[in-house]
Amino acid sequence: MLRRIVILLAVAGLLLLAWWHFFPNEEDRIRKRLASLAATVSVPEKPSPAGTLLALDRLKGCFTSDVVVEVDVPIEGRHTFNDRDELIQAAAAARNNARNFKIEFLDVNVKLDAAKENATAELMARVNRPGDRDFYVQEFKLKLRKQDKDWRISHAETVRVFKQ
Amino acid sequence: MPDKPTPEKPRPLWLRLIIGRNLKRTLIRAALLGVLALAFFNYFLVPARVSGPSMEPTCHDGSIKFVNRLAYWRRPPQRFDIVALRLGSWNLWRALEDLVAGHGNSRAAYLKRIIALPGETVAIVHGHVLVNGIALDEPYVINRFVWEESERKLPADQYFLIGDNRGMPQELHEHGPVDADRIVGKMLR
Repeated sequence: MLRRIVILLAVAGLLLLAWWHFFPNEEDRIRKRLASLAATVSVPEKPSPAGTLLALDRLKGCFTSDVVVEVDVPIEGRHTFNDRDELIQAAAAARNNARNFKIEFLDVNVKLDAAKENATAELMARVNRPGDRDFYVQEFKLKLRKQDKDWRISHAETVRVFKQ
Repeated sequence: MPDKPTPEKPRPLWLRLIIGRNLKRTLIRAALLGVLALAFFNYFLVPARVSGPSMEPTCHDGSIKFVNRLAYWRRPPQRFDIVALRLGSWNLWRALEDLVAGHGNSRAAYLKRIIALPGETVAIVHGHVLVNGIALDEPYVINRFVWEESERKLPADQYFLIGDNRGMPQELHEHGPVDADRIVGKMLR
């Protein structure tokens, strides 16, 4: 009897996992999207030109064409990127100058609106070099919009812990 | 005549030391201990590795400190307390998700000292902190660069925090007003 219950529970668990995998909810889709973005913006030790082009192409698909990105970090100051093209250009320049760093999006909290067409995400970006114990962290607040069944970032801003 | 049951061979000492007399009980105890340790070191006493020079000489780069998350359960933060300021939400479930996903410990915090309380005015003149117009006695500060910060009045829900290492350029040292809900605990000395 106990064995039957355990088997039933195991089968139910597997079915649930399969359901989640093949029919993710919107929050899970956003998380996967953000995880994929983090992997795309990470730069390997020796990036190939083809790899860079592919990454920049993938990056385009993560943002709306009218995306606004507001960055305000210590020492660097404030800067605003006013559309996707400007952002991709900056990303391309950054990839040329920096090598071998990994970006991870952690502590991702997602809130969807009632219609599930817009969402906000708060997360922490962690940047480090593989093998290095020290890292840099920055909080972000994102707004996402559903376009062509895909979630894209329409607004991003850094969050400062210490107010000015 | 039925066969006598074969007596169980006694377990070797080394095996008994590892699994105890009863394996099931040992496993249950180990699981309970694991859950308690997880809860304790996430909810009550959080270990933190210091990274960076902003709290020298009080906290050395690379040293391990513990943050008491229950310190402000009954009373609010006080002046001169060294506190942890969370980055991110410090949501335990998110932290567990990140751990399972292979990101390691995803929680990060600033360790800084409170020098002004909500409602007070604070300024920095020639490297010296003035709270409500009176110079603060800070014996833990060894070197001072000439920092300047214009006077401001803190809102009711903000504290002013700063590191102990004033012998570094002001623009490289993160400091300033912080929302009270960012404070997650007090550092144990």
